[in-house]
Amino acid sequence: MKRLRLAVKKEKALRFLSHLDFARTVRYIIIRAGIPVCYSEGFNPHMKISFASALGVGVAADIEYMDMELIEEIPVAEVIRSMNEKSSQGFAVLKGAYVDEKAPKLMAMANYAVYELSGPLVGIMDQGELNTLLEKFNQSDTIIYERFSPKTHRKRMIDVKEHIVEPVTGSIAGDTISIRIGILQNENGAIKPGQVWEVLCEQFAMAAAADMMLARRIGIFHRAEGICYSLFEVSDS
Amino acid sequence: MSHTVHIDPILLGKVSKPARYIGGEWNSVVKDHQTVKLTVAYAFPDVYEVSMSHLGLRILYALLNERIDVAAERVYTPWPDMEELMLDKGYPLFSLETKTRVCDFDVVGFTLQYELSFSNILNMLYLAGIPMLSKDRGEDMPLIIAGGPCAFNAEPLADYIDVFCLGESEESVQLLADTIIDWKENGKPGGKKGVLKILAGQQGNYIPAFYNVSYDENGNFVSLTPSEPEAKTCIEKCIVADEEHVFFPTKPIVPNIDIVHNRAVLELFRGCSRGCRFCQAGMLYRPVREKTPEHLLQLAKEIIANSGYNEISLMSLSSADYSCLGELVDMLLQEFEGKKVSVSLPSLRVDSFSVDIAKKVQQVRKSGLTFAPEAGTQRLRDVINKGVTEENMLAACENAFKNGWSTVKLYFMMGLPTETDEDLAGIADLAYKVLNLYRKITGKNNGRVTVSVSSFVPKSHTAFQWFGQMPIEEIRRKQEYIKTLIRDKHISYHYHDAKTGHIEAAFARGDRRLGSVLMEAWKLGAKFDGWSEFFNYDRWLQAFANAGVDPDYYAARSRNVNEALPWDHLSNGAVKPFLQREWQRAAAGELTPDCRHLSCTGCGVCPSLGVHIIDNKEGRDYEKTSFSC
Repeated sequence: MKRLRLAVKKEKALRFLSHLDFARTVRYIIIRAGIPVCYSEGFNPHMKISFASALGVGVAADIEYMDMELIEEIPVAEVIRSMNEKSSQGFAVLKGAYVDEKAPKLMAMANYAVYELSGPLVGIMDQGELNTLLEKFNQSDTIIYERFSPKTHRKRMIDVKEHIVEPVTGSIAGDTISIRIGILQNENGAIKPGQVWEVLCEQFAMAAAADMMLARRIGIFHRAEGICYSLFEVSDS
Repeated sequence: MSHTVHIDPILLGKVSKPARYIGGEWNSVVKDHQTVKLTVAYAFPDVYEVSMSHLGLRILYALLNERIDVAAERVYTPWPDMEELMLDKGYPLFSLETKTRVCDFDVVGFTLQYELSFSNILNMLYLAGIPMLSKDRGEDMPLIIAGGPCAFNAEPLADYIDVFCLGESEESVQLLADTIIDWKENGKPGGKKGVLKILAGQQGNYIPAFYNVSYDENGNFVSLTPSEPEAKTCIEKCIVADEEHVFFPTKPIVPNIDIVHNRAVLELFRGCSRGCRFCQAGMLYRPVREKTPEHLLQLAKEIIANSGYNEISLMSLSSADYSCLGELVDMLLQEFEGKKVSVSLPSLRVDSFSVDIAKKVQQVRKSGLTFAPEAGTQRLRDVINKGVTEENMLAACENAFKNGWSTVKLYFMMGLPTETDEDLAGIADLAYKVLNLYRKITGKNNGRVTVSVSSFVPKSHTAFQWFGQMPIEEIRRKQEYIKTLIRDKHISYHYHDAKTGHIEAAFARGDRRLGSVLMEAWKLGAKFDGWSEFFNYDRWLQAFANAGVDPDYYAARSRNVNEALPWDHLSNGAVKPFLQREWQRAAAGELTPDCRHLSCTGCGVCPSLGVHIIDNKEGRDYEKTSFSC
């Protein structure tokens, strides 16, 4: 059994898939490409693949990682070529490398994701004003985001700054505001990109609508002691 | 000039399942409209997950896209949240492939699978900005064409559709495309009416605008008379004689979201001649024409390789009747062994043989088995010509229980002709017999029997087309009566709301006057009527009242066997005396055999359409038609 790690992307027609639908679409691609992938034992065998994260509906990803277990080792270039040939619009394999069978799971390693959020400008705001409010955001020690869960009927308080450890930057181009943020996952979980956008609109008066935003993930890493490592690097250690 | 629709992705992200509206699926075909001579939007009047599960449109889509001069695209009904967004932002209905406005296509082709989807057809035309009534559509608007089973009783939609195509279209759609391309290239002589006149002369095409309808002084339907010389008095369906070599798509579109039937589909044969007297499909798609197992294996290999699916479903009207089913299943299991591809049968015949096949294909998971005895007593099963006995039923269950199954689902109908409470009690009896059999065979008390009883809707072109549907109150009483007879927690009993069946029945045997009812219902907000959360019975009653039409004139009235019927001009090839004879035999409880195995029953389909039964076991292409009807 060989474990192959792939860097892939999710965009265009696949952007609006839920994680489960995206995973199914990738399974079809693997079968069409004829990759000798392993299945679990039991009454209802499932393909042994796993992803670094569960991307939400509407979130595109320039990069996502997945591991798959193969029955035999076949050249990485061969896997990439055959999968890309059989890919649905919006999916592509970018890179791949075999990793140690005992390497930690992707889900456990990936704890830092960088997003670009963009939405239409509402009202008037120039780059200077945006910089000022982001500076204020970056300088704050704590920013509380209150979330009411309709399931548990409980309020949950999240300290946004616990998850946003690098300065947030942004730009205005035409009538679109774009914000770049990194979100750290810690023992308390993480915050969603949409929630950060909401905080910027509602607590920092960013000239955009709290519910009018599209997220694109531009990177996902393992972060330790302030340094971001590629998930390909982590597997070697 | 065609326009594309750009939906703001931020707004699209707010509707449920945005992937319904995006396209880009594997094996979907995107063509530049500048490079083709004809554009066709295939429309299914339901949401993506239902529409994408339909084989017929997938066949025609792939077939037309094989031609370099045609672009065929898809459009389905937007879910109400998307409809709201489209209306709010002014986005017109658009195709999935190129996001072209539906109103910019040359042809919009609807499939008519179910009467309660008609309100969605009107709504889709509205969302496309296409005038709903044929007479209001200008030369710049697409031709609206419709096919599928409900085209055989086209009259309720006669005001809305330009051309109905009867029967199987794999061959005739080529002529349709050629005709429209010719007409376009010659500068559209005579305008739309010009091309409709040519189409009227071709087999299977019904142009409702070319007929005048007359009623007698009591408002009873009398006749449809051609008003144009090209219009025929009787329109005969199109049929594929050579099922073995007819086009079947081996590159199915693989959806990105889960759909109702998300698996590869292999069609074993067309038609079913068992002759169940309630069944419209059995009458519309005669005669039986099989593909060979060798050809099916080849198709299956290609479909699996091209799709990535891990399940292949063996589809037909009654798949267990495929003459080489055992051989085929063995061939498929051998081919896919070790490849994690499973084979599934959507329906089983009520007999032990079917369970043997189910055993083969479900080697690990023993999910429930489903049988459809349809009626609770032998007497009533004979009336409906369901050639199944209690012995068949119990033998099938015995085989299933001995082989590890513990759950059986039984499907029945109520409201059938001649039905009495005794027949309903028979349903409960049968459920108990099956459960007791399980206890006897396994010695365990963990068996489950699910009894599902639907209410019968009489359909055109069947032996029961003259039968008046039972009133809703009577259906309710019957439903409650069965409930009182089932008192075991191992038997669960389900039934359907009789109200949808009532509206369905009115449209299933309606005439042109139903068109205004449909318009009234649409105005009152009717949509997605096949979905219980959207169906509103009172709204439909209001629509009937607004249009001045009595639903029970169509649904509940028993018709005289000699009266003119609004679908008499739309022929599946069967002759009326055959149906009249079947109706009499039903009343007498006499069985009519299946003509693929025994003698010809004289329905008339084979001689009138020039086709014959193709059964791999009985002998290929064998002639057994008798002309003595």
